[in-house]
Amino acid sequence: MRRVIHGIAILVILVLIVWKVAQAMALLKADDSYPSKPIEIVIPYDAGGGSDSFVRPVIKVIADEGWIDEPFVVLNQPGGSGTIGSRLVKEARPDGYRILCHHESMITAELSGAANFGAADFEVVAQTGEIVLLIIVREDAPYETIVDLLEAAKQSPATIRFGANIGSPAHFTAMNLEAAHPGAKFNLVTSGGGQTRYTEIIGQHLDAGIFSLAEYLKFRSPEGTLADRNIRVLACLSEKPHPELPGVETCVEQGVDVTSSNAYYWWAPKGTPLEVQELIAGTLEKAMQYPEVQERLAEQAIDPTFSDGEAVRQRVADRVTLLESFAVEAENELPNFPAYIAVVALGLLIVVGNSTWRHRGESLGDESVDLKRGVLCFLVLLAYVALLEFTALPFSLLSVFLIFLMGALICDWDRKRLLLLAEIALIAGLGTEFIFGSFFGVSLP
Amino acid sequence: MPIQEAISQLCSPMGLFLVVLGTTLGVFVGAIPGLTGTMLIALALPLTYGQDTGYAMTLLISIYVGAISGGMITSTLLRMPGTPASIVTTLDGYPLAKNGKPERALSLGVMASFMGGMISWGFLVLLSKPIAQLSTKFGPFEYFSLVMMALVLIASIGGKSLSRSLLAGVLGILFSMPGISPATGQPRLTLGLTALNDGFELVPVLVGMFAMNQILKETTSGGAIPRAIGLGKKRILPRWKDFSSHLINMIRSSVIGTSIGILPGIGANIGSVTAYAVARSTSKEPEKFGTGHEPGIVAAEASNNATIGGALIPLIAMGIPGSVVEAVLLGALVLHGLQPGPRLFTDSPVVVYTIMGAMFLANVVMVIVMFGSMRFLARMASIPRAYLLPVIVLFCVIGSFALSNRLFDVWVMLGFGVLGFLLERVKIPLAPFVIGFVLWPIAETKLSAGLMSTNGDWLPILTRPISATFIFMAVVMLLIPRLRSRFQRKEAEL
Repeated sequence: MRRVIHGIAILVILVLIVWKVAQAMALLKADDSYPSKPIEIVIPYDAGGGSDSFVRPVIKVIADEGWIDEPFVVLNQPGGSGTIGSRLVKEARPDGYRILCHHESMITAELSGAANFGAADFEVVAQTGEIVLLIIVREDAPYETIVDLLEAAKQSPATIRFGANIGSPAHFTAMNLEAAHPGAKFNLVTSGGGQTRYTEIIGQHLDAGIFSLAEYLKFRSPEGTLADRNIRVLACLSEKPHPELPGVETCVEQGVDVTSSNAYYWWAPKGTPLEVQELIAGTLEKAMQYPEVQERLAEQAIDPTFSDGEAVRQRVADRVTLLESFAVEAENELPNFPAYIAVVALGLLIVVGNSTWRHRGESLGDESVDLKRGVLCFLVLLAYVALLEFTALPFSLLSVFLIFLMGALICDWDRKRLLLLAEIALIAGLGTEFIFGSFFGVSLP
Repeated sequence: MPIQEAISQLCSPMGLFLVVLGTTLGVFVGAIPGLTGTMLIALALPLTYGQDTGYAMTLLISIYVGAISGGMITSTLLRMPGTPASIVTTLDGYPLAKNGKPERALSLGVMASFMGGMISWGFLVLLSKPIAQLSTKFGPFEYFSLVMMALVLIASIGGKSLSRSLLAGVLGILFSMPGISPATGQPRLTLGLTALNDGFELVPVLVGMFAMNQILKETTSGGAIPRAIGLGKKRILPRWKDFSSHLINMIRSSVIGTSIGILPGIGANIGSVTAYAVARSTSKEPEKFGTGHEPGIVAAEASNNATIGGALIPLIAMGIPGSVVEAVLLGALVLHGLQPGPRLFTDSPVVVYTIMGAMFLANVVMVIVMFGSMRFLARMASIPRAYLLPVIVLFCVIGSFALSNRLFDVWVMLGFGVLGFLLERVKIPLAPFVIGFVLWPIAETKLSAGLMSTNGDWLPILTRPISATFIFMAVVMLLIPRLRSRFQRKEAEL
């Protein structure tokens, strides 16, 4: 029985080593003309989000058609309203192997203070896809046009609750609307994603909000739904009426001179060579004209527009100038939550410390503690993560050593266990890289 | 039809494979003392990133069901609860096993688990849609009050010392604060580290608190694992008589478990403690409880499995997790771009029905796996730690890294591992910490939205009826334990 297990283990290890060597050989053969390795497309949002579902069909076509020697691969870097992923690209080497796909939050994040860098710190390579924005109210709301809404906001300032997250592109659009109708003042409320905004409009916790066309088409219930259970478009913020929305006028047509839309831009680190930028832009242009991509974008209600070179640089510059003219300030002073919570924590800490002091002498735990082994194991682990972060040693090699060393420490170098432990270490170290890399598409450090 | 689509997805080879895989993994991990279902789910979460949402939830729910059930094995044979949910099972399971009837104890436990799971599944199917529709009535203030109630609930019932539980909850809140403020979009408390712009991510915190912390505990504990009671050759499958004689107890315990599961913030261990207490107080022979009495095992196991269905209701209907595991499930839904709440039923009905269906199937598979591999599982309990722990460490690292491809998250995981270890050394419970950590961002977002729409007026928290009810309940729950202890002291003085 034992022999069989060892036999199988050794076989698995051999297969994994052969796979690893083959992979290393393939890497050596690569030459240095651009691109000689996959190009990473950083999406600063979660897998499955709006940006993600926009990018994936585009790069899939590029990989399938082979317009470029190496594929584009996605790297999701969510968080911090998109600032985490953008910073990763900003600080990348300008060699064209790490490109960012991000919308106008790039500009608004800097203006609102969420990031200390913005569009000027990148090369903008191209603009692809246009997101149409709409102003939404509940079906039975008393407003028929955007002018009605703005007039109401003028008659009783700061009472119309308008859903727009502070610092987001929607927030700037709302300020743009206020400016177009002097005297109008909304009560801007941060209300989270489209889902929450929808629920709050239905529940009458918001009076109006900005939605993308895709969100509207998703949330709109069929005709005949009760008026207090459905939503309605007040106006469309695009330059021309949209074919998906028959009978809906634009803001400009209703006499309010505001247009706004969001678009996906592709950004490269500052200093990326022009020919690299042009190669990427050219590939994206081909992809945007591809029927399958256009179909997928139509499903998401994104218009497949494209611009690059001087045109897109001008467009970004125009948007920056426009958005800069609005100063962002929190509409209401919000309480300083961290300070409140810190005070409560301090108070509780005193109570707990006091009761512990009074009950001192009562043992805290009676189990025997072997701190030395625990600390040794933890140091091994710290060294492992530090080596991963600061050296280029391969993940699999380090992991094999980690598992073997920790296991040996835990069993006190028991000779009978070391052989099986070594096998487990090799299988787990190489195996995880194989499984995660091949099946789950997760690239390990 | 979404229901048919969900059924065909679940019954596809891949769906069935995931149910069997998840349940088996859950049962096995639950059966190894020290490894909990929460830990396994936190580690499995990164595996599901690339997968279809329905499949991802199928896997996670199956693990959940398996792990809560598997915990009974070590409770019964080793007197070490495999998961916190099966602490109460040790009270009667272990004595019965020691009296030479381990097969009997496990057999009753599996039967009760199955019934508990099925009854609560029924409640899940019936109640989640009406509650989801009700929740559109909830504005920002109502949500805030609900979350506050959940925090107080877990603190006042969850631990031994109220002040320590509250402190844990508040610490959890404090650690959820760094990063971009949900209301103003400004970074705060980042200590100048741009990596902290997004704060501490849920997965590294959970993996650190539950998996890494456990590793630290295991590597520092000097004692060897005690030997488990071996199973004999006696019959394991329960008979009809066992079923009929325990039926009333099973139904009562399941209903108690489900109702406690619905309350946000508290999970399986409270459910089983309550059901056990009720079973004892309604019994004709209460003195037998704790000595290997069969109804005790049945009450504990029926109720802890019943909390699963109960806790899924507020998760699906309102996006408020009912327990720590649910917090991970909520994270999984959000990672896949879904927002639990009233829209979930119209936007992604297939996912909702898949979750329900997966719970049903996992219950069935659980019974088969438990009865089929009981003898093997009994031996699993004594696997050498030297083989197991290092591999888990590797998964902790990969799991934290894979979320957003940053080594920063791995450091966060290690840090929270040490923090969890230290907190438990000074007897501060971890569950309120995690619930505070998960729920605060929701509470703050809602409160900020509410304050923005009322121009900074706090009063609606108390003047809106639903919101006031929640706050009232929270205050009552905060006071009850204090009043009770004062009464008891008075009685003692008299």
